[in-house]
Amino acid sequence: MLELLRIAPLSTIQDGGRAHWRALGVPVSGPLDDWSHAIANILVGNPTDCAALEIGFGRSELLFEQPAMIALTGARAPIDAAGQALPRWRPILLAAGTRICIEPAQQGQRTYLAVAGGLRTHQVLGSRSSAPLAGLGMEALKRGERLAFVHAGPAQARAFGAPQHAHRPIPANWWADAEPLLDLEGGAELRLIAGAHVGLLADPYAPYTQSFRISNDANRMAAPLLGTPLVINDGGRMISEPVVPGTVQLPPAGQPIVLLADAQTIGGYPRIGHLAGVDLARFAQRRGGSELRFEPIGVDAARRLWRWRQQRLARLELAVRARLG
Amino acid sequence: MDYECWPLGDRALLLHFGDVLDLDLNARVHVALERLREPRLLGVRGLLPSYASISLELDLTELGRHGGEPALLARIQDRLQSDAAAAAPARGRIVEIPTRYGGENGPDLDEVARLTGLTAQDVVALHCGPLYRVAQVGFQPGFPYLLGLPAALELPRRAQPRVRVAAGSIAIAGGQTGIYPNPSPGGWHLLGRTELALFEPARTPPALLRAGDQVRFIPVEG
Repeated sequence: MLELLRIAPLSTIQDGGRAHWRALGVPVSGPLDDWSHAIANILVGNPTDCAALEIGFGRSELLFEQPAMIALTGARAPIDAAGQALPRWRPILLAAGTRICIEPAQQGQRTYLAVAGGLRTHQVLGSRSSAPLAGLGMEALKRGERLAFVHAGPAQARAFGAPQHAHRPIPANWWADAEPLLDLEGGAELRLIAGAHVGLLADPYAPYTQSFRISNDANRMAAPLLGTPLVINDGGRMISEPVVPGTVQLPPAGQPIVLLADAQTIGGYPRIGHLAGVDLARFAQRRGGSELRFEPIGVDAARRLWRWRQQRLARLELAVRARLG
Repeated sequence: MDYECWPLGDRALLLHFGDVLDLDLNARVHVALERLREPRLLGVRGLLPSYASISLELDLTELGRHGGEPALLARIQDRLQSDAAAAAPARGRIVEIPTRYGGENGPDLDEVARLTGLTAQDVVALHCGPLYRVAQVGFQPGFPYLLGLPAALELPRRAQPRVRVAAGSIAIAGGQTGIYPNPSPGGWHLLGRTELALFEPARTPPALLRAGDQVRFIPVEG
Protein backbone atom coordinates (compact mmCIF):
# COMPACT_ATOMS: atom_id res chain seq x y z
CA MET A 1 0.00 0.00 0.00
CA LEU A 2 0.95 3.63 -0.54
CA GLU A 3 -0.04 5.72 2.48
CA LEU A 4 -0.65 9.45 2.16
CA LEU A 5 0.92 10.77 5.38
CA ARG A 6 0.28 14.23 4.05
CA ILE A 7 -1.13 15.31 0.69
CA ALA A 8 -1.23 18.70 -1.05
CA PRO A 9 -4.69 20.19 -1.69
CA LEU A 10 -6.46 19.34 -4.96
CA SER A 11 -4.55 16.10 -5.44
CA THR A 12 -6.41 13.33 -7.30
CA ILE A 13 -5.89 10.02 -9.05
CA GLN A 14 -5.99 10.28 -12.84
CA ASP A 15 -5.83 7.75 -15.67
CA GLY A 16 -6.93 8.07 -19.32
CA GLY A 17 -10.42 9.18 -18.23
CA ARG A 18 -13.93 8.48 -19.51
CA ALA A 19 -13.91 9.60 -23.16
CA HIS A 20 -16.27 6.75 -24.03
CA TRP A 21 -19.08 8.23 -21.88
CA ARG A 22 -19.09 11.85 -23.00
CA ALA A 23 -22.39 11.52 -24.89
CA LEU A 24 -24.09 10.86 -21.53
CA GLY A 25 -22.82 14.16 -20.14
CA VAL A 26 -19.86 12.58 -18.34
CA PRO A 27 -16.74 14.79 -18.19
CA VAL A 28 -13.73 13.14 -19.81
CA SER A 29 -11.37 13.86 -16.85
CA GLY A 30 -7.78 12.58 -16.96
CA PRO A 31 -4.64 14.53 -16.06
CA LEU A 32 -4.54 18.31 -16.55
CA ASP A 33 -0.87 18.07 -17.58
CA ASP A 34 -1.26 15.05 -19.86
CA TRP A 35 2.36 15.28 -21.05
CA SER A 36 3.95 14.85 -17.60
CA HIS A 37 1.40 12.16 -16.70
CA ALA A 38 2.12 10.15 -19.85
CA ILE A 39 5.89 10.36 -19.36
CA ALA A 40 5.71 9.36 -15.69
CA ASN A 41 3.86 6.24 -16.80
CA ILE A 42 6.22 5.50 -19.68
CA LEU A 43 9.27 5.79 -17.39
CA VAL A 44 8.01 2.96 -15.19
CA GLY A 45 6.94 0.77 -18.12
CA ASN A 46 3.20 1.48 -17.90
CA PRO A 47 0.77 2.27 -20.73
CA THR A 48 0.37 6.06 -20.91
CA ASP A 49 -3.21 5.93 -19.58
CA CYS A 50 -2.40 4.11 -16.33
CA ALA A 51 -3.72 5.51 -13.03
CA ALA A 52 -1.16 7.82 -11.39
CA LEU A 53 -1.21 10.59 -8.77
CA GLU A 54 -1.80 14.18 -9.82
CA ILE A 55 -0.39 16.10 -6.86
CA GLY A 56 -1.37 19.73 -6.33
CA PHE A 57 0.75 22.64 -5.13
CA GLY A 58 1.89 22.23 -1.53
CA ARG A 59 3.69 19.72 0.65
CA SER A 60 3.11 15.98 0.46
CA GLU A 61 4.62 13.03 2.28
CA LEU A 62 4.09 9.50 0.98
CA LEU A 63 4.98 6.16 2.56
CA PHE A 64 5.57 3.12 0.35
CA GLU A 65 4.93 0.10 2.53
CA GLN A 66 6.27 -2.29 -0.15
CA PRO A 67 9.08 -1.94 -2.72
CA ALA A 68 8.04 0.15 -5.70
CA MET A 69 9.35 1.50 -8.98
CA ILE A 70 8.15 5.08 -9.38
CA ALA A 71 8.73 8.14 -11.55
CA LEU A 72 8.10 11.79 -10.68
CA THR A 73 7.42 14.40 -13.39
CA GLY A 74 5.76 17.78 -13.79
CA ALA A 75 6.42 20.86 -11.67
CA ARG A 76 9.93 21.79 -10.52
CA ALA A 77 9.58 20.71 -6.89
CA PRO A 78 12.27 19.59 -4.44
CA ILE A 79 11.71 15.92 -3.60
CA ASP A 80 13.66 13.82 -1.13
CA ALA A 81 13.65 10.56 0.80
CA ALA A 82 15.26 10.76 4.26
CA GLY A 83 17.46 13.62 3.09
CA GLN A 84 18.45 12.04 -0.23
CA ALA A 85 17.35 14.30 -3.10
CA LEU A 86 15.31 12.38 -5.68
CA PRO A 87 15.51 13.30 -9.38
CA ARG A 88 12.48 13.95 -11.55
CA TRP A 89 11.97 12.45 -15.06
CA ARG A 90 13.71 9.15 -14.13
CA PRO A 91 12.49 5.81 -12.81
CA ILE A 92 13.48 5.25 -9.17
CA LEU A 93 13.47 1.99 -7.28
CA LEU A 94 12.20 2.38 -3.70
CA ALA A 95 12.70 -0.07 -0.83
CA ALA A 96 9.78 -1.07 1.40
CA GLY A 97 9.22 1.57 4.06
CA THR A 98 10.55 4.50 1.98
CA ARG A 99 9.02 7.86 2.82
CA ILE A 100 9.23 10.56 0.15
CA CYS A 101 8.60 14.27 0.72
CA ILE A 102 7.50 16.62 -2.03
CA GLU A 103 8.00 20.30 -1.20
CA PRO A 104 6.00 23.17 -2.76
CA ALA A 105 7.09 23.63 -6.37
CA GLN A 106 9.47 26.43 -7.35
CA GLN A 107 8.11 26.48 -10.89
CA GLY A 108 4.91 24.94 -12.21
CA GLN A 109 2.26 23.58 -9.88
CA ARG A 110 1.38 19.94 -10.53
CA THR A 111 3.55 16.91 -9.83
CA TYR A 112 2.82 13.46 -11.28
CA LEU A 113 3.81 10.25 -9.56
CA ALA A 114 3.44 6.98 -11.43
CA VAL A 115 4.05 3.54 -9.92
CA ALA A 116 5.01 0.56 -12.09
CA GLY A 117 1.82 -1.46 -12.58
CA GLY A 118 -0.36 1.56 -11.80
CA LEU A 119 -2.51 2.41 -8.80
CA ARG A 120 -5.20 -0.16 -8.17
CA THR A 121 -8.11 1.90 -6.90
CA HIS A 122 -11.80 1.30 -7.61
CA GLN A 123 -13.00 1.96 -11.18
CA VAL A 124 -16.11 3.94 -12.07
CA LEU A 125 -17.26 3.77 -15.72
CA GLY A 126 -14.01 2.03 -16.65
CA SER A 127 -11.75 4.68 -15.12
CA ARG A 128 -9.97 5.41 -11.84
CA SER A 129 -10.00 9.17 -12.49
CA SER A 130 -11.54 11.41 -9.85
CA ALA A 131 -14.07 13.95 -11.05
CA PRO A 132 -15.18 15.16 -7.61
CA LEU A 133 -17.43 17.92 -8.97
CA ALA A 134 -19.35 15.41 -11.14
CA GLY A 135 -19.54 12.91 -8.27
CA LEU A 136 -17.49 10.28 -10.14
CA GLY A 137 -14.56 8.35 -8.72
CA MET A 138 -12.83 9.15 -5.47
CA GLU A 139 -13.05 12.51 -3.74
CA ALA A 140 -9.93 14.69 -3.73
CA LEU A 141 -7.25 12.72 -1.85
CA LYS A 142 -6.96 13.13 1.92
CA ARG A 143 -4.31 12.56 4.55
CA GLY A 144 -4.30 9.00 5.86
CA GLU A 145 -5.65 7.38 2.70
CA ARG A 146 -3.99 4.13 1.58
CA LEU A 147 -3.78 3.25 -2.10
CA ALA A 148 -3.08 -0.21 -3.51
CA PHE A 149 -0.38 -0.68 -6.16
CA VAL A 150 1.65 -3.45 -7.79
CA HIS A 151 4.84 -4.09 -5.82
CA ALA A 152 8.22 -4.01 -7.52
CA GLY A 153 9.80 -7.43 -7.92
CA PRO A 154 13.27 -8.87 -8.60
CA ALA A 155 13.01 -8.26 -12.36
CA GLN A 156 12.76 -4.53 -11.82
CA ALA A 157 15.66 -4.54 -9.38
CA ARG A 158 17.76 -6.36 -11.99
CA ALA A 159 16.87 -3.77 -14.63
CA PHE A 160 18.50 -1.19 -12.37
CA GLY A 161 21.50 -3.40 -11.70
CA ALA A 162 20.48 -3.05 -8.07
CA PRO A 163 20.48 -5.54 -5.24
CA GLN A 164 16.86 -6.49 -4.60
CA HIS A 165 16.99 -5.38 -1.00
CA ALA A 166 18.66 -1.99 -1.27
CA HIS A 167 17.63 0.31 1.56
CA ARG A 168 18.05 3.60 -0.23
CA PRO A 169 16.21 4.82 -3.33
CA ILE A 170 18.07 3.94 -6.53
CA PRO A 171 17.42 6.27 -9.49
CA ALA A 172 18.12 5.00 -13.00
CA ASN A 173 21.22 6.51 -14.62
CA TRP A 174 19.13 7.71 -17.62
CA TRP A 175 16.23 10.13 -17.92
CA ALA A 176 13.64 11.69 -20.23
CA ASP A 177 14.48 15.20 -21.39
CA ALA A 178 10.89 16.39 -21.31
CA GLU A 179 10.81 19.53 -19.23
CA PRO A 180 11.51 22.17 -21.91
CA LEU A 181 8.24 21.28 -23.63
CA LEU A 182 6.38 22.21 -20.47
CA ASP A 183 7.84 25.71 -20.35
CA LEU A 184 7.84 25.72 -16.54
CA GLU A 185 9.41 29.22 -16.57
CA GLY A 186 6.09 30.31 -18.04
CA GLY A 187 7.36 32.82 -20.63
CA ALA A 188 5.96 31.20 -23.77
CA GLU A 189 2.78 32.36 -25.45
CA LEU A 190 0.09 29.71 -25.54
CA ARG A 191 -1.19 28.77 -28.97
CA LEU A 192 -4.87 29.38 -29.63
CA ILE A 193 -6.93 27.94 -32.51
CA ALA A 194 -9.74 30.29 -33.61
CA GLY A 195 -13.15 29.38 -32.19
CA ALA A 196 -16.38 29.49 -34.20
CA HIS A 197 -17.43 32.86 -32.70
CA VAL A 198 -14.17 34.78 -32.70
CA GLY A 199 -15.48 36.80 -35.67
CA LEU A 200 -18.25 38.21 -33.46
CA LEU A 201 -15.74 39.94 -31.18
CA ALA A 202 -15.75 43.72 -31.51
CA ASP A 203 -11.99 43.30 -32.00
CA PRO A 204 -11.19 39.79 -33.30
CA TYR A 205 -7.49 40.35 -32.52
CA ALA A 206 -8.12 41.28 -28.88
CA PRO A 207 -7.37 37.76 -27.54
CA TYR A 208 -3.85 38.05 -29.03
CA THR A 209 -2.99 41.65 -28.32
CA GLN A 210 -3.67 41.82 -24.59
CA SER A 211 -2.43 39.75 -21.69
CA PHE A 212 -4.60 37.87 -19.19
CA ARG A 213 -4.15 36.73 -15.64
CA ILE A 214 -5.22 33.23 -14.56
CA SER A 215 -7.81 33.51 -11.79
CA ASN A 216 -7.13 31.96 -8.41
CA ASP A 217 -10.60 30.37 -8.70
CA ALA A 218 -9.38 27.90 -11.32
CA ASN A 219 -10.23 24.25 -10.65
CA ARG A 220 -10.19 21.00 -12.63
CA MET A 221 -13.31 22.07 -14.58
CA ALA A 222 -12.33 25.53 -15.71
CA ALA A 223 -9.87 28.39 -15.35
CA PRO A 224 -11.30 31.91 -15.61
CA LEU A 225 -8.96 34.48 -17.22
CA LEU A 226 -8.90 38.07 -16.01
CA GLY A 227 -8.13 41.02 -18.26
CA THR A 228 -9.72 43.90 -20.12
CA PRO A 229 -13.22 42.51 -20.82
CA LEU A 230 -13.70 41.32 -24.40
CA VAL A 231 -16.79 42.68 -26.16
CA ILE A 232 -18.81 40.29 -28.30
CA ASN A 233 -21.89 40.95 -30.45
CA ASP A 234 -23.58 37.57 -30.29
CA GLY A 235 -27.04 38.76 -29.28
CA GLY A 236 -26.81 36.58 -26.18
CA ARG A 237 -29.09 33.97 -27.73
CA MET A 238 -26.68 31.16 -28.53
CA ILE A 239 -27.95 27.64 -27.84
CA SER A 240 -25.64 25.16 -26.17
CA GLU A 241 -23.21 23.14 -28.27
CA PRO A 242 -20.52 20.55 -27.53
CA VAL A 243 -17.28 21.81 -25.98
CA VAL A 244 -13.95 20.07 -25.31
CA PRO A 245 -11.13 20.53 -22.80
CA GLY A 246 -9.16 23.52 -24.05
CA THR A 247 -12.21 25.38 -25.36
CA VAL A 248 -12.12 29.07 -24.42
CA GLN A 249 -15.65 30.35 -23.77
CA LEU A 250 -16.71 33.95 -23.38
CA PRO A 251 -19.53 34.57 -20.86
CA PRO A 252 -21.40 37.93 -21.06
CA ALA A 253 -19.09 39.67 -18.55
CA GLY A 254 -16.30 39.42 -21.15
CA GLN A 255 -13.76 37.45 -19.07
CA PRO A 256 -12.82 34.26 -20.96
CA ILE A 257 -12.94 30.81 -19.33
CA VAL A 258 -10.61 27.97 -20.36
CA LEU A 259 -12.43 24.65 -20.01
CA LEU A 260 -10.34 21.84 -18.54
CA ALA A 261 -10.47 18.05 -18.13
CA ASP A 262 -13.50 17.90 -15.79
CA ALA A 263 -15.57 20.43 -17.77
CA GLN A 264 -19.17 19.82 -18.76
CA THR A 265 -19.66 18.33 -22.24
CA ILE A 266 -21.85 21.09 -23.71
CA GLY A 267 -21.79 24.83 -23.16
CA GLY A 268 -23.93 27.81 -24.13
CA TYR A 269 -21.35 30.60 -24.30
CA PRO A 270 -19.59 31.78 -27.46
CA ARG A 271 -16.36 29.92 -28.23
CA ILE A 272 -13.59 32.36 -29.06
CA GLY A 273 -10.81 29.79 -29.26
CA HIS A 274 -9.34 26.44 -28.31
CA LEU A 275 -5.92 25.87 -26.79
CA ALA A 276 -3.73 23.78 -29.08
CA GLY A 277 -3.79 20.24 -27.66
CA VAL A 278 -0.06 20.28 -26.91
CA ASP A 279 -0.45 23.48 -24.84
CA LEU A 280 -3.01 22.09 -22.37
CA ALA A 281 -0.06 20.63 -20.42
CA ARG A 282 1.70 24.00 -20.36
CA PHE A 283 -1.46 25.74 -19.22
CA ALA A 284 -1.94 23.19 -16.43
CA GLN A 285 1.44 24.16 -14.96
CA ARG A 286 0.65 27.92 -14.93
CA ARG A 287 -0.37 29.10 -11.47
CA GLY A 288 -3.34 31.22 -10.47
CA GLY A 289 -2.32 34.88 -10.65
CA SER A 290 0.27 34.35 -13.40
CA GLU A 291 0.20 36.28 -16.65
CA LEU A 292 -0.74 34.66 -19.93
CA ARG A 293 -0.56 35.67 -23.59
CA PHE A 294 -1.97 33.88 -26.63
CA GLU A 295 -0.66 33.60 -30.15
CA PRO A 296 -2.74 32.32 -33.07
CA ILE A 297 -2.13 28.91 -34.60
CA GLY A 298 -3.93 27.23 -37.50
CA VAL A 299 -5.70 23.94 -36.92
CA ASP A 300 -3.38 22.08 -39.31
CA ALA A 301 -0.27 23.34 -37.54
CA ALA A 302 -1.78 22.40 -34.17
CA ARG A 303 -2.52 18.88 -35.46
CA ARG A 304 1.06 18.54 -36.71
CA LEU A 305 2.29 19.46 -33.23
CA TRP A 306 -0.03 16.89 -31.68
CA ARG A 307 1.17 14.13 -34.02
CA TRP A 308 4.77 15.12 -33.27
CA ARG A 309 3.95 14.81 -29.55
CA GLN A 310 2.46 11.34 -30.08
CA GLN A 311 5.54 10.25 -32.03
CA ARG A 312 7.83 11.54 -29.33
CA LEU A 313 5.95 9.60 -26.65
CA ALA A 314 6.02 6.45 -28.81
CA ARG A 315 9.79 6.75 -29.28
CA LEU A 316 10.33 7.30 -25.58
CA GLU A 317 8.20 4.23 -24.87
CA LEU A 318 10.41 2.08 -27.12
CA ALA A 319 13.61 3.42 -25.58
CA VAL A 320 12.39 2.80 -22.04
CA ARG A 321 11.17 -0.70 -22.86
CA ALA A 322 14.63 -1.57 -24.20
CA ARG A 323 16.19 -0.44 -20.91
CA LEU A 324 13.69 -1.90 -18.46
CA GLY A 325 13.62 -5.20 -20.33
CA MET B 1 -29.13 17.83 -45.00
CA ASP B 2 -27.68 21.32 -44.57
CA TYR B 3 -24.85 21.72 -42.12
CA GLU B 4 -21.58 23.51 -41.61
CA CYS B 5 -18.42 21.86 -40.33
CA TRP B 6 -16.09 23.76 -37.99
CA PRO B 7 -12.97 22.71 -36.11
CA LEU B 8 -13.55 22.32 -32.36
CA GLY B 9 -9.90 22.63 -31.38
CA ASP B 10 -7.36 20.35 -33.07
CA ARG B 11 -8.88 17.00 -32.12
CA ALA B 12 -12.60 17.45 -32.76
CA LEU B 13 -15.00 18.75 -35.41
CA LEU B 14 -18.41 20.30 -34.97
CA LEU B 15 -21.24 19.66 -37.43
CA HIS B 16 -23.55 22.63 -37.01
CA PHE B 17 -27.13 22.16 -38.29
CA GLY B 18 -28.73 25.38 -37.03
CA ASP B 19 -29.06 28.02 -34.34
CA VAL B 20 -32.51 27.53 -32.80
CA LEU B 21 -34.23 25.41 -30.15
CA ASP B 22 -36.59 23.49 -32.35
CA LEU B 23 -37.98 19.96 -32.28
CA ASP B 24 -37.75 19.43 -36.05
CA LEU B 25 -34.17 20.68 -36.22
CA ASN B 26 -33.24 18.47 -33.26
CA ALA B 27 -34.93 15.52 -34.97
CA ARG B 28 -32.68 16.08 -38.00
CA VAL B 29 -29.67 16.00 -35.67
CA HIS B 30 -30.77 12.59 -34.42
CA VAL B 31 -31.24 11.27 -37.96
CA ALA B 32 -27.71 12.46 -38.76
CA LEU B 33 -26.37 10.93 -35.55
CA GLU B 34 -27.82 7.51 -36.44
CA ARG B 35 -26.24 7.67 -39.89
CA LEU B 36 -22.85 8.69 -38.57
CA ARG B 37 -22.80 6.12 -35.77
CA GLU B 38 -22.87 2.83 -37.72
CA PRO B 39 -20.54 1.73 -39.15
CA ARG B 40 -17.97 3.75 -37.22
CA LEU B 41 -16.38 6.49 -39.31
CA LEU B 42 -12.64 5.99 -39.82
CA GLY B 43 -10.73 8.60 -37.84
CA VAL B 44 -13.63 9.27 -35.44
CA ARG B 45 -13.58 8.00 -31.87
CA GLY B 46 -16.80 9.43 -30.51
CA LEU B 47 -19.95 11.41 -31.34
CA LEU B 48 -21.75 13.82 -29.06
CA PRO B 49 -25.10 15.34 -30.05
CA SER B 50 -26.56 18.60 -28.75
CA TYR B 51 -29.68 20.61 -29.66
CA ALA B 52 -28.58 21.51 -33.16
CA SER B 53 -25.07 20.13 -33.64
CA ILE B 54 -22.89 17.04 -33.31
CA SER B 55 -19.25 16.95 -32.27
CA LEU B 56 -16.90 14.30 -33.65
CA GLU B 57 -13.91 13.42 -31.56
CA LEU B 58 -10.98 12.63 -33.86
CA ASP B 59 -8.24 10.04 -33.70
CA LEU B 60 -5.59 12.01 -35.61
CA THR B 61 -3.34 8.99 -36.19
CA GLU B 62 -6.14 6.92 -37.70
CA LEU B 63 -7.45 9.94 -39.60
CA GLY B 64 -3.98 10.49 -41.09
CA ARG B 65 -3.90 6.91 -42.36
CA HIS B 66 -7.28 7.26 -44.06
CA GLY B 67 -7.00 10.38 -46.18
CA GLY B 68 -7.05 13.07 -43.51
CA GLU B 69 -9.84 15.56 -42.94
CA PRO B 70 -10.88 16.02 -46.61
CA ALA B 71 -11.60 12.30 -46.90
CA LEU B 72 -13.50 12.31 -43.61
CA LEU B 73 -15.63 15.25 -44.73
CA ALA B 74 -16.45 13.33 -47.93
CA ARG B 75 -17.45 10.25 -45.88
CA ILE B 76 -19.70 12.42 -43.70
CA GLN B 77 -21.23 14.11 -46.75
CA ASP B 78 -21.89 10.71 -48.25
CA ARG B 79 -23.72 9.44 -45.17
CA LEU B 80 -25.78 12.57 -44.69
CA GLN B 81 -26.82 12.91 -48.33
CA SER B 82 -27.83 9.34 -49.11
CA ASP B 83 -31.38 8.55 -50.27
CA ALA B 84 -32.57 7.76 -46.81
CA ALA B 85 -32.22 11.49 -46.11
CA ALA B 86 -35.97 11.88 -46.22
CA ALA B 87 -36.53 9.22 -43.58
CA ALA B 88 -38.12 10.24 -40.31
CA PRO B 89 -35.92 9.96 -37.23
CA ALA B 90 -36.09 6.73 -35.33
CA ARG B 91 -38.77 7.28 -32.71
CA GLY B 92 -36.59 6.27 -29.78
CA ARG B 93 -37.90 4.45 -26.75
CA ILE B 94 -40.71 6.00 -24.75
CA VAL B 95 -39.74 6.27 -21.08
CA GLU B 96 -42.38 7.06 -18.47
CA ILE B 97 -41.33 9.13 -15.47
CA PRO B 98 -43.58 8.76 -12.41
CA THR B 99 -43.67 12.28 -10.94
CA ARG B 100 -44.85 13.75 -7.64
CA TYR B 101 -45.87 17.32 -8.44
CA GLY B 102 -45.90 20.22 -5.98
CA GLY B 103 -45.32 20.45 -2.24
CA GLU B 104 -41.80 19.72 -1.11
CA ASN B 105 -41.22 17.76 -4.33
CA GLY B 106 -42.00 20.75 -6.51
CA PRO B 107 -41.50 23.89 -4.41
CA ASP B 108 -41.96 26.25 -7.39
CA LEU B 109 -45.30 24.86 -8.63
CA ASP B 110 -47.39 27.62 -7.03
CA GLU B 111 -44.97 30.31 -8.15
CA VAL B 112 -45.08 29.00 -11.74
CA ALA B 113 -48.90 29.04 -11.57
CA ARG B 114 -48.81 32.65 -10.40
CA LEU B 115 -46.30 33.73 -13.07
CA THR B 116 -48.21 32.02 -15.89
CA GLY B 117 -51.69 33.03 -14.65
CA LEU B 118 -52.74 29.38 -14.48
CA THR B 119 -53.89 27.18 -11.62
CA ALA B 120 -51.43 24.66 -10.17
CA GLN B 121 -53.64 21.86 -11.60
CA ASP B 122 -53.41 23.44 -15.07
CA VAL B 123 -49.63 23.65 -14.81
CA VAL B 124 -49.42 19.95 -13.93
CA ALA B 125 -51.87 18.99 -16.69
CA LEU B 126 -49.91 21.01 -19.24
CA HIS B 127 -46.54 19.65 -18.10
CA CYS B 128 -47.53 15.99 -18.17
CA GLY B 129 -49.49 16.29 -21.43
CA PRO B 130 -46.83 16.12 -24.17
CA LEU B 131 -44.51 13.39 -25.31
CA TYR B 132 -41.12 15.08 -24.94
CA ARG B 133 -37.91 14.34 -26.81
CA VAL B 134 -34.50 14.10 -25.15
CA ALA B 135 -32.76 16.71 -27.28
CA GLN B 136 -29.38 16.48 -25.58
CA VAL B 137 -27.75 15.16 -22.40
CA GLY B 138 -25.26 17.28 -20.49
CA PHE B 139 -24.67 19.86 -17.73
CA GLN B 140 -24.08 16.93 -15.41
CA PRO B 141 -23.92 13.17 -16.10
CA GLY B 142 -27.33 11.98 -17.29
CA PHE B 143 -29.12 15.38 -17.23
CA PRO B 144 -31.71 15.23 -20.08
CA TYR B 145 -32.75 18.45 -21.83
CA LEU B 146 -36.30 17.78 -23.06
CA LEU B 147 -37.99 19.70 -25.89
CA GLY B 148 -41.74 19.93 -26.33
CA LEU B 149 -42.81 22.10 -23.38
CA PRO B 150 -46.18 23.82 -24.01
CA ALA B 151 -45.64 27.52 -24.80
CA ALA B 152 -47.88 28.53 -21.87
CA LEU B 153 -45.20 27.22 -19.48
CA GLU B 154 -42.25 29.13 -20.96
CA LEU B 155 -40.59 31.24 -18.26
CA PRO B 156 -37.14 32.74 -17.84
CA ARG B 157 -34.87 31.11 -15.25
CA ARG B 158 -35.29 31.99 -11.59
CA ALA B 159 -33.68 35.31 -10.68
CA GLN B 160 -31.97 33.60 -7.73
CA PRO B 161 -30.58 30.14 -8.57
CA ARG B 162 -30.86 27.58 -5.77
CA VAL B 163 -27.66 26.44 -4.09
CA ARG B 164 -29.01 22.91 -3.89
CA VAL B 165 -31.64 21.16 -5.98
CA ALA B 166 -32.65 17.65 -4.86
CA ALA B 167 -31.80 14.65 -7.06
CA GLY B 168 -34.72 13.66 -9.30
CA SER B 169 -36.14 17.21 -9.42
CA ILE B 170 -38.15 17.96 -12.56
CA ALA B 171 -37.79 21.54 -13.65
CA ILE B 172 -38.59 24.01 -16.44
CA ALA B 173 -36.81 27.01 -17.94
CA GLY B 174 -37.27 28.72 -21.30
CA GLY B 175 -38.81 26.21 -23.70
CA GLN B 176 -37.22 23.26 -21.95
CA THR B 177 -37.87 20.82 -19.16
CA GLY B 178 -35.22 18.67 -17.51
CA ILE B 179 -34.47 16.33 -14.63
CA TYR B 180 -31.58 16.81 -12.17
CA PRO B 181 -29.80 13.42 -11.73
CA ASN B 182 -27.76 14.52 -8.71
CA PRO B 183 -28.10 17.17 -6.03
CA SER B 184 -26.59 20.32 -7.51
CA PRO B 185 -27.03 24.08 -7.78
CA GLY B 186 -29.75 25.03 -10.27
CA GLY B 187 -31.70 27.97 -11.66
CA TRP B 188 -34.73 26.23 -13.17
CA HIS B 189 -38.25 26.22 -11.67
CA LEU B 190 -38.94 23.00 -9.75
CA LEU B 191 -42.35 21.46 -10.50
CA GLY B 192 -41.97 17.92 -9.11
CA ARG B 193 -39.67 15.04 -8.40
CA THR B 194 -39.19 11.42 -9.45
CA GLU B 195 -37.74 8.53 -7.49
CA LEU B 196 -36.17 7.04 -10.61
CA ALA B 197 -32.36 7.14 -10.66
CA LEU B 198 -31.36 9.15 -13.73
CA PHE B 199 -27.69 8.20 -13.56
CA GLU B 200 -26.02 5.27 -11.81
CA PRO B 201 -22.43 4.56 -12.84
CA ALA B 202 -22.69 0.88 -11.88
CA ARG B 203 -25.81 0.28 -14.00
CA THR B 204 -25.78 -0.76 -17.70
CA PRO B 205 -26.43 1.63 -19.32
CA PRO B 206 -25.60 4.17 -16.61
CA ALA B 207 -28.00 6.84 -17.87
CA LEU B 208 -31.77 6.26 -17.78
CA LEU B 209 -32.22 8.50 -20.84
CA ARG B 210 -30.18 9.20 -23.90
CA ALA B 211 -30.53 11.75 -26.68
CA GLY B 212 -33.33 10.75 -29.05
CA ASP B 213 -35.46 9.00 -26.41
CA GLN B 214 -39.02 10.16 -25.78
CA VAL B 215 -40.35 10.93 -22.32
CA ARG B 216 -43.75 11.22 -20.68
CA PHE B 217 -44.34 12.40 -17.12
CA ILE B 218 -46.97 10.39 -15.20
CA PRO B 219 -48.38 12.20 -12.14
CA VAL B 220 -48.47 10.04 -9.02
CA GLU B 221 -49.99 10.85 -5.65
CA GLY B 222 -48.14 11.43 -2.44
